[in-house]
Amino acid sequence: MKKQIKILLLEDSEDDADLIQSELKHGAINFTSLVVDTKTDFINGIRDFKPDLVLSDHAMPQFNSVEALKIYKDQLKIQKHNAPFILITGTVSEDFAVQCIKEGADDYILKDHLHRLPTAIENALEKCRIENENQKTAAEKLLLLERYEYISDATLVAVWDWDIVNNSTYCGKGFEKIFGHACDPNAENNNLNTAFIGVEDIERVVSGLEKAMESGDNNWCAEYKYLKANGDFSFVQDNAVIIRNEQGKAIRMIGAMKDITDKKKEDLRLKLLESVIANTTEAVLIAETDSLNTRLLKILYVNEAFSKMTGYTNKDVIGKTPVILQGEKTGQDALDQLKNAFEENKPSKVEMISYKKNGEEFWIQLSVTPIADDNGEFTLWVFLERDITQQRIHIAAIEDQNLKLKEIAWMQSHVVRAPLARMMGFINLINPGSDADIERAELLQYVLNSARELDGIIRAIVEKSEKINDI
Amino acid sequence: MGVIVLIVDDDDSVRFFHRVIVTRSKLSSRPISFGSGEKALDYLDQNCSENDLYLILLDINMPGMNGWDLVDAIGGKTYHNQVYIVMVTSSVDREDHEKAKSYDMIIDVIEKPISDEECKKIMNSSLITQYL
Repeated sequence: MKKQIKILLLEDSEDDADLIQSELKHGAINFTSLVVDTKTDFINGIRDFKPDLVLSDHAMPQFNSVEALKIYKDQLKIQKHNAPFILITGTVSEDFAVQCIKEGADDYILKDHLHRLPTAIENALEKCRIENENQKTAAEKLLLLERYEYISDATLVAVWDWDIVNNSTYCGKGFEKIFGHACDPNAENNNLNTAFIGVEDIERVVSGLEKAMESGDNNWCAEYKYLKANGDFSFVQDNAVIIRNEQGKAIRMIGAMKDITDKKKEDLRLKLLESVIANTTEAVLIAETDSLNTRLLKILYVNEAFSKMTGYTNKDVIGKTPVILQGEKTGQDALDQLKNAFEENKPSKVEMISYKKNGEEFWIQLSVTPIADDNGEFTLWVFLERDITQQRIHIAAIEDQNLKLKEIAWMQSHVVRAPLARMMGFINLINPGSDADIERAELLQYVLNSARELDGIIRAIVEKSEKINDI
Repeated sequence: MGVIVLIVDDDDSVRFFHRVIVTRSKLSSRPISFGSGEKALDYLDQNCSENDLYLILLDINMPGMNGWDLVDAIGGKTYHNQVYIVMVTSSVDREDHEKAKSYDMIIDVIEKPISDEECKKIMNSSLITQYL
């Protein structure tokens, strides 16, 4: 059964109103109606009764159809909806009828020809229904188009739409905006999306695309180099949906290309930095301050070199405090200096004894550096550790050696010269021309004694020198 | 009034040699030798006469009280301005020279072996000649 239609009937004559309604029933129109004969009632009727259709007499005592038509059509405009207005009149001139149609009336019926009314109503309703539908479709299309424009603006993507059956491609404004390729919307085949794929990538991209089309997949994605109008290459990520017919054959593809050059560069940079940290021979430990107790540090990350140096694996230390690295022999001075650095958020460098997982102690040079987060709070600390045990041993050996060398130098300047000075003195006394009253034999004995002493001293120096090893 | 020459050295052969040189150069006909700083200080404490001047040829490196210790000890004595000292060492380094400058009683620092010329130079130094 047809939907019941609501008819607002503007008619001052009750007889005519009855006549019209009976004609409608006769014409098998399923309806309800409201009869009004003043302007106020007409306006209220439009608002409250919400008619699907207005049937209006032409002339009434305080109102007329021209004014009613204007009120009704204005109201409909506001609602962006159309509904028929049909004029029913006793006598009317041809000119007046034409004017009414111009004003927006959908039809006019002479009271003498009321039998035409049901058909006229059905025609007018159908006309309005089609109009409304078209309007709605147009509005929806416009909305979709607007939405598409906004989305492509917001996401900075270049959209393409490939009609596979007719092999024609639509390319959106994004191609000009992002890549600088002017897009002529009237061109027959605007395949900007495929025309500029980098030579080294094209084979891979095309074969991937063909594979996706042949498989049952509804999505396709690829990353490749794409030539911009200015001659530079961009890295793009291309995501597309594949639309298939009932047989599953791909008939259309819609894709969006995104310039990911900056992201690629950043990824590469981060990867490089990460590999530096991961592969450096210096032990790296990153800790964050506990959100509840800023004086507590928790380990977030350690690199391979750290595990090699300390024996602690990633698993052993993540979430723990770096305090595990210190122990009994770690100097209080070093710990105080570190504590100070943590309290004042300043970088610091100390040398201290640290402990490995197996308890073995070793010397490290530790530098700690605070890193501020986006809010300027120092929540991260980077620890760099270098094993300086060998260096320490080396320095100790050099210091020991230095001491020995100093002893030798002292001996050479003081001890060696004492017997030598004596020998020189006595030889001077033995000289002919010297006093003869001193026994020469006695003097010679003194010279010999001094010579023996000197010999002993030189042997001692040789012995000491032999103890100095290459370091 | 006269000048009494003291020879202080832990090595007896050095004492012998110094005695030969001192007598031969006529600095003194009867120098007195001591094997240690302590013995020399004892002698001065007991025999120091107001009428005499004392010239000490003093070895720096000695076991026990070394040359510098003896200089310091004499510095605290009442007779310190009757004493003149020549520091005698196997090898002179700059430090010894610098240090010697801060003592009024040290008139020279010389390197072993002491020579006749050096003895004569000491004799001719104005401080000593007035008493010789």
